[in-house]
Amino acid sequence: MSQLYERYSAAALATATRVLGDRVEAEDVVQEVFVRIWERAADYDTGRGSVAAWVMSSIRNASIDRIRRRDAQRRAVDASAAEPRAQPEKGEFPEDLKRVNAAVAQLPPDQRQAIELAYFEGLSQSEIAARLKQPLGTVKTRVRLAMQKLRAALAGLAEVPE
Amino acid sequence: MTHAEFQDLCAAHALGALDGEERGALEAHLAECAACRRLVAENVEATAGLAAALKPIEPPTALRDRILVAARASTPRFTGPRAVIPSWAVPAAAAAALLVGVWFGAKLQEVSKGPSALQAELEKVRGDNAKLREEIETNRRTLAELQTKEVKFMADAAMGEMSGGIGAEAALGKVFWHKNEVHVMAAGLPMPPEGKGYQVWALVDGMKPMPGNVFTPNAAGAMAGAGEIVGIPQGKVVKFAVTVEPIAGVKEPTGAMIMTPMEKK
Ligand SMILES: [Zn+2]
Repeated sequence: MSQLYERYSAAALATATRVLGDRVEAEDVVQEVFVRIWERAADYDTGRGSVAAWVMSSIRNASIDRIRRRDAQRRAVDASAAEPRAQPEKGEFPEDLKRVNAAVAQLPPDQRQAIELAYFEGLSQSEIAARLKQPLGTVKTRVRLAMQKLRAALAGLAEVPE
Repeated sequence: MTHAEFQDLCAAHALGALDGEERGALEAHLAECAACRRLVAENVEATAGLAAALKPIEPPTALRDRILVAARASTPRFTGPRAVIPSWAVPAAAAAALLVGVWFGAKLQEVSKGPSALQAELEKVRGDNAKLREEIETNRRTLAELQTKEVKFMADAAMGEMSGGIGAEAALGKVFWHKNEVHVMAAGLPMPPEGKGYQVWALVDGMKPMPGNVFTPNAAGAMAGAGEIVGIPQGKVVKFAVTVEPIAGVKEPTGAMIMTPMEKK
């Protein structure tokens, strides 16, 4: 538990803050998720995926759930306010996730934007299309290509053909 | 839709970005297609890269402390065939919450009923106002100190789990230990026979069971306490069990095993 927290809490707090745009709420989500993880640690099935992905998707989902419960007015958070402040580097991710991290940085901006709108703002593909004023088919393609590259990075493969 | 078409939806599904209809169709397909389930899992794995790409934010120490205390106070969850939440879980959680810092057992009990009892008195005896306030403040500080000690212990402690043996099928327990210090929490226990209690044992392959303290559960079947078990070796797999023994405790187990080490699936 302690190790898990040392390793992932900084990334977890960054993710929750990015989604919620509010540090206090983000800390609440981190607490809620880590306590739940602690309670269920015995059920954790290693066949299901990495611990990092388990922690991060729990954080992301709990944050999105919370934002959906929020007043629609409060949802209009200025994206710049959600940008985390500069902090000391911490939270070592496993090697394969660092590769994905690098792959995220190399995505074409429109592909990255599409998956970030889904992941951090909880938008569906049609909502992303409306937000970006792009055809739905274009958004679907961007999402698919972006995720294909991230998966390839995770598997340690070179760039996949487009 | 064909399997290939479903495959195309897996990435968006992992991002939670499928719209209603497509999501429903894919979820139905996932129930019967292991290949697509695997593909979704791989995509979920990849989404963690998005989190990893953010600049980390170091959480305040207070958050870590809050989590450790809350985690300590929560009861473990049943899964599998015994997934029904037993009625004892609620009082047990409340009991466990009170027992944070139980290493200083008696002291804490005194303190934990302190503030509210004193508060009531405060209203009755206005004249003693200042003195009582001081007492409340002292109790509050003692409680905070106990919690801090507990948090420090929890940061280092390892955890073992126990399930109920014969006659205590609903029981569930957690043991936290660090060096010789052992904290035990259990719930769902029956009352022991007259003159008997529940003794904790540390079990290590190739060694005799090492005796710990004897505890008795409260009326709700919850039990919590702490003590020392001498001789727990470093770097070995340590499991814990509980047997029914005389209140004074014994050097080697003699009674029935009411709690056994939980086997991981
Ligand atoms: Zn399929």
